[in-house]
Amino acid sequence: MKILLNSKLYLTINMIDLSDPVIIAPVGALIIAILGLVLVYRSTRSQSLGVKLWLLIFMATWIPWSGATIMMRFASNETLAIIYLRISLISLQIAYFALFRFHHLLVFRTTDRRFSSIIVTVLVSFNIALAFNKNMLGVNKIGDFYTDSFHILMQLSNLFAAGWAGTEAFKALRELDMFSTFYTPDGERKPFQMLFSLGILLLSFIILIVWIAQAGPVGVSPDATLFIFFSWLVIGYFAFTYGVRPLSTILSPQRVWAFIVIDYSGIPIFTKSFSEAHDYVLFAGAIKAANSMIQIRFNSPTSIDLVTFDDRAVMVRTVNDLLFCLVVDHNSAQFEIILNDIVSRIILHDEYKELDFSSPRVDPEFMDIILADILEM
Amino acid sequence: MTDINIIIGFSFAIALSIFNTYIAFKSYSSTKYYYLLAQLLQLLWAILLPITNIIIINPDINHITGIIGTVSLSLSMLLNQFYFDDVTARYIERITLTLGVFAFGGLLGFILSEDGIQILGNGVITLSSPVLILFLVQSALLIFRFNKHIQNQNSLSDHYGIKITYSGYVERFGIYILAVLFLVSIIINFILSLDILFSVSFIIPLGYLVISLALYNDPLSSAIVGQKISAVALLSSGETKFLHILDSSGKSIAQTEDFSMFLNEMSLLMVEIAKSETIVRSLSTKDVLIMFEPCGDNILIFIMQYRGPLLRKLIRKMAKQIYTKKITTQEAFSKLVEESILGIEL
Repeated sequence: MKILLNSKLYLTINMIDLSDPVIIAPVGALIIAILGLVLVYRSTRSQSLGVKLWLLIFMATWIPWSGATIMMRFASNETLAIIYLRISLISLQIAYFALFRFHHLLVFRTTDRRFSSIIVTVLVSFNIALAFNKNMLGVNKIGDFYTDSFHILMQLSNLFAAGWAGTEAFKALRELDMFSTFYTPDGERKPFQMLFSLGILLLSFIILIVWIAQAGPVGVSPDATLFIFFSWLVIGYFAFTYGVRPLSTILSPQRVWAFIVIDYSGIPIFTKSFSEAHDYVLFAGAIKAANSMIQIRFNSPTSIDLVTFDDRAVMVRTVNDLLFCLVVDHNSAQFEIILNDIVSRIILHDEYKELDFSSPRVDPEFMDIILADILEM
Repeated sequence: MTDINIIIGFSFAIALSIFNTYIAFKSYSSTKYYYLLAQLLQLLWAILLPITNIIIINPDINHITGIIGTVSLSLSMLLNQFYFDDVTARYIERITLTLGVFAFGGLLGFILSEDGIQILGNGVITLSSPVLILFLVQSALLIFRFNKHIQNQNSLSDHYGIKITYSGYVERFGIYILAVLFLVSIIINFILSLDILFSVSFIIPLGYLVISLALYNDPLSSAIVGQKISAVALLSSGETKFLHILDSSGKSIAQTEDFSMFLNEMSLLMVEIAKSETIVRSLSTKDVLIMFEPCGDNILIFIMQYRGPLLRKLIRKMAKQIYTKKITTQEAFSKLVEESILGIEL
């Protein structure tokens, strides 16, 4: 090691006491971070790149944040410290924005929640602007640098941005049935998991408050590394609940009510309903009829691709006169991608290629075979 | 050098802001509020900044009024973004708004930072370069947005068959030139470090004047939404009661002979669906979007191309009017449609 490293770096390492929590905390945090990144990558491997990308950015940007915060504490001069401070604050803002975008793509309708995203965007760019302020950097008695308290405004707006992005992401996880972690399939509580989660959240809040108080009017050197460590525990927990639980293979937190395939003579050849309250088969037939009518009357190849209700949306794809209907809570970009994926996998399947489109009706068996194959049931 | 020039500049700004506020108030029916508020905030900016520069010499008070003035200018620019977003945007184009909001947040941060606004010895305030750059970005976004708006208005004029006068065309063209001049002069001032405040005090109100004049003189300035609505119809238990076609281009399906027959069949379909106690809200194909709204026992439908903000609000408002005014003739229906979509008083 001594040979490989140049003298300056060697000196730097020697200066740091390895039993110092300032070093142990970030190393532990880094391990949790990488673990979280791997878990999330694993769990979302089948999702669309857009959603996966934002979640991965969220996980990844905490690494420069913690790294730069630690480096700032050991910076030899003010110029370096300011650079590290900016890197750390800006990557933190990117993390908040990515967390919000992840959740936004996963859950939201394309048509609403303008103000929610506006608030996050304003806070994030506000904080980035503050990061460029030189007065944000403080020096304590020993000569360590820390984020000063313009500081209290900065801390508060950060807290608010984190809170907002966190709440929205929490909503997404709740819709993904995150709480199945806390209950057995029979509905019994799992006290250890509950207390563990609660403990982590509580501890990180306490650390956060202590951190803010230290950075604030008192002006004592705050130990940011400790806060980083505990916030990493939260991130790790987030990654665990999203990445490991069995339900994390569900692609979208919206409910699917039914999937129906209608053949060219208007007869349903596949129906899968997840709710007995409504029967969408008749409705799918009506769409099929309307499509034929549009095509004949207006001599147009166009066909209905979306019907929205008060509380449902029916997404439709028409391929070779076969009609694929997906009934969901509301239409979202995520489901557009999923439906296109299902349809393209069906029509690329060998069974589908062997279909005889000249016969009056389709053998319903083929759909079961294809879907069983696709879903590996 | 600057005292008398600044007084002249800002008097001009105040006069124009008042005029713009008047135009904004007079010209718009339901989406004017963002625009109106933007003008009022700009007025605040135009009043506060010369006071900061000339009258008060106490640096602390100057700093506070400077901050309030600059923040209200940036807020006014953001509100203009909102206004154009509501009128002309499709949901898919929300990226400009997000960028505008991003610039606004950055402006707030830089203005509130300690060196964002500095007071010189003689009481004159200067803005730091990030603040100016972000103002530049925000203006560029606004010009882009306004450009889109004008393009949209042009195609709307073709769509609804409303002729723009010759002067209208001249104005629309003049706006491009002025908008570009506006941007270029800020950049030049910025590079040459001339008296930025002075030039900004002229240029920003002038930009607003041009925009509001264009909106005021445009025959479609009173249109509530910038989406091309092809037709509006009222369906009643299986048949088309009233149908008013707005599209004059001759390309829409609303003008084909089979269209009313299509509507009748659609209506029958709706009756069938209504038995299952749910209401269909919209139905879309690649190039046509149909929106439904219950109106008593009848169903009001809009036929257009894209989903956009304000459309649901508009259709609800119309359904309510049809229900309360007890519309019984095709003429009354057509009149109501033209009034509420194009804002034309017949």
